[in-house]
Amino acid sequence: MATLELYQVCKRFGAASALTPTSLQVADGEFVVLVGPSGCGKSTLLRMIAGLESPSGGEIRIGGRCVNAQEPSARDIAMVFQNYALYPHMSVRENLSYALKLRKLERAEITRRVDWAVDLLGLQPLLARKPGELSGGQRQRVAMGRAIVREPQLFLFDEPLSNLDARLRNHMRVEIKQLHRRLGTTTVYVTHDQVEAMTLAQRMVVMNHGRIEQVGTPEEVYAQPASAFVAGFLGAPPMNLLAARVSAEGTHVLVEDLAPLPLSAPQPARAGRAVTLGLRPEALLPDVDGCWTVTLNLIESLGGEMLLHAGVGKQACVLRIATTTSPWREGDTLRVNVASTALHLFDADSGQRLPS
Amino acid sequence: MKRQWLRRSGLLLLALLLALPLYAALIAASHAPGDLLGRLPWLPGNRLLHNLRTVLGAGLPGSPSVLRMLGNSLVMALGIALGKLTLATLSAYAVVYFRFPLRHTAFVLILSSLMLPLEVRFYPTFQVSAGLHLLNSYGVLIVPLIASATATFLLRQFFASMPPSLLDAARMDGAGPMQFFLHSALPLARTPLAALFVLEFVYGWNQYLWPLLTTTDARYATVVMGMQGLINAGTSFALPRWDLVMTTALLALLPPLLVLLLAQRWFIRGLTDIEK
Amino acid sequence: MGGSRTAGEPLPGTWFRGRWLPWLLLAPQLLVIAVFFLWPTLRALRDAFYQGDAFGLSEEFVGLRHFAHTLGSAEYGHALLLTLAYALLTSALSLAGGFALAVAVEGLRSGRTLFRTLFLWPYALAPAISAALWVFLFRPQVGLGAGLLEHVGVHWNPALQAGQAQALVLATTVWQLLAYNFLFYGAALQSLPPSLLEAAALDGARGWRRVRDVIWPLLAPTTLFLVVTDLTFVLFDTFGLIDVLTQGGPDHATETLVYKLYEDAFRNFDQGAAAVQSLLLMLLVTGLGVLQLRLQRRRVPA
Repeated sequence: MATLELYQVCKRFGAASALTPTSLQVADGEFVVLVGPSGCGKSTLLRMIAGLESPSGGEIRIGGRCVNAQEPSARDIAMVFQNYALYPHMSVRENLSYALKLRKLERAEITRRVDWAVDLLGLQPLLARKPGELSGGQRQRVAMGRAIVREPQLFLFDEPLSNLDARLRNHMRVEIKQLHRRLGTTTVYVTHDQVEAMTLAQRMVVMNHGRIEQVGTPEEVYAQPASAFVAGFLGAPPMNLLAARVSAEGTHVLVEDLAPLPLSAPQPARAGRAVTLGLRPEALLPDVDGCWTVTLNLIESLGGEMLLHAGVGKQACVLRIATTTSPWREGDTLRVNVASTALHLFDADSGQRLPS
Repeated sequence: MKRQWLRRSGLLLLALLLALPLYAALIAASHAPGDLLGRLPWLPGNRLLHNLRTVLGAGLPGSPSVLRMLGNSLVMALGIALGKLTLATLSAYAVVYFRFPLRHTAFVLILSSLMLPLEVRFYPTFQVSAGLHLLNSYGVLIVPLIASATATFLLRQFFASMPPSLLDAARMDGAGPMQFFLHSALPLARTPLAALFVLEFVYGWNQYLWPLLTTTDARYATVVMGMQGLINAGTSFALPRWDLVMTTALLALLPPLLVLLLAQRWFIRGLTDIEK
Repeated sequence: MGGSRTAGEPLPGTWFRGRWLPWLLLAPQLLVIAVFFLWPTLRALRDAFYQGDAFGLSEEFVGLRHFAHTLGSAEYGHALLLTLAYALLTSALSLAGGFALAVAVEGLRSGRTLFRTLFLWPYALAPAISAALWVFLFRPQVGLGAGLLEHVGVHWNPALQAGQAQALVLATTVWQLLAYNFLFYGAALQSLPPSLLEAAALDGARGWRRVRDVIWPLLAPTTLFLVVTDLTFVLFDTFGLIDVLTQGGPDHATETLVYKLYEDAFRNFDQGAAAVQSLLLMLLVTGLGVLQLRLQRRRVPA
């Protein structure tokens, strides 16, 4: 078990910058998820931690030891890959024990570790098979087994569930979480899927365009997104982002063609300026006395709840209502109320969160 | 359904027609020389074993031992096939899995040897081999032919198509370049290697011009290059010995044919594997 | 195998470090190429401009004399035209035949494996051995084919009749090449995605139309590859076939460029002419290779 520290780590490919100087501390035993759209630099960062890519600058420390110059195999880490990267010509048992054999461990020790991993992950019936004869979920489990037999100080996961179907993905997510509870190994997990990030992370790192947008617990990041990007990236469906303006007195926020909404924290400094107004889909509540009138364009039923796609003024937003049957029909107008505590304001240019 | 049967019958007829040269050889090889005068018999005779024994034992007068020529052909074909595969695998691996200065130049140099097959540069290559005193040896039959642009190119394609994460995983597991080569790259390349082996074995066995030029000593003669001499020897009698000539021809075509037929499945799969 | 990395992500730097190990791996092949490929080529380049005396004791620089001599000779022109006609004719015939056979066989609902074998086997035969079989088949007074021709009134004697000798060489070459073309067209057909052919079937393309509108264009890269390999084979790999069938005769009627080079080098011991002809052959092959690269670039935008 170990801590992981990154100091001003950056990566350039030729003239292009894939990662601006980035610092991050991961505590011993912590489960940290790097999340962001493809091309945001999260995989590059992970590969530098693994040693598969060398940083253009900065320092990487595992357990307090600088590993910049170390080969991947010398860093005492293990990695699970998106496409599993199992050796297709080796049986499951051989896949699990290959790294241990290369390290010249004693045979008894290899058997002990492999048996332990096999037990933990329920791989017993698969031992003699080749990866080609396994289902996606089974392969993923073997890939995890290959990582844990090494008893590493640090686990790295690179989009491990992306190649699985939705049902299996949920299942494996739970397994990964349980595995972390049991082993308590420090883990860095990369994904583009915000649901995976929210459910797995103790702390999540949201990245975009080669830099970190926000670091925090899933609850913090969800409740207080640091930027319009983070707000629009998290949540399913994500936060509604509306072009808006602060009133001349700085006390209200105005969306075109709609009633002004009072701000709980007035913004006199930005009076009259353009802002981005963020509203979670569940923050818009149908209310006959509501202040806004919206037009329903499309109704999607998810069983236990409904998503209402609505026009607000000249813009569009989504409402999430916990109901099984809809009293409305497409084309209806509807009055909704907006709680002033549910407002998120972002700078229209930089996208940075404004204090509220 | 009916059209399928029609097509199948047509194809069968065509296949039989194309097999006629081989059938005629089989008829000749299974009869006594006297039976082959005038009209050729329609059915094979019962002298095949007898003719085989004659050819492999006494052989044809004035010609090198057929058994020895077959052995030489085998040495040459195996040497060329294994040599080509070894050199090509090593080169392809180096080019795909390493980054080093002049990497591209080295690869282009190897590929350019594809441009000039031995048949167009046999004369200067012969002169160089003669200058190095290599003539009349197994070495000269094999070594000048074991550079292979085709195999290097196809194996490079194959290695480059393997998922990069496999190498990542191996590096995390602590495998060095030679360990990754022996434990992963080589076993994974089994199918294309098998296909290439068939290709190159047939190529090596079927060489004609090169052994003709470089082996004047009958001890190193191969059976394919000896065919011309065998026909001349066989037809120099008052009663031409087509029975023995065709028996030898059958022996000479059997090994590459067997290799191809036994490995046909892999061969075609390997070719399609590589093409992707 | 692509798609393992999300699009837009920079390509991973997956390779080993090492300064001398890759060169060590390349060394055997590079050595063979240097000794038996580069050196001979340079040597031919030099010999083409020199004339040695009869005893090989001295040499003098003669400039372009060998070139002028070779290119000006009627025999060389004859061999060149003959070789080109021979190459084009055999390639076209076996390409068309191989394609038709492959389409017919791969379109069968059952028995494909059997027919593949039935048409594939001549591929394994050495051209010289194929020639030996055909020599016997068309030997006057003995051969089955020769007898048949006599029966229909042909005075069959390829040892004297130039046209007959040429026809015999042509037939043997096509027979041999057919298997090769069949093999590659068959492999290409098998690797076509079935969904494409099914889509064509749904579009109502059947029989001849399907072959012409769907299969032939889809196999264009294979055709391109085969045109060049066929030409290369006929131009350069048929020495054994001709040596066994006709020895270039009668009266040079089947003397291809390679055969002529062999005669000049090893029968007439004309080192200068042989060097020049070797260079010309190399140029010809290089031209073919460049042509192939050009056509491939145009066809496959990638």
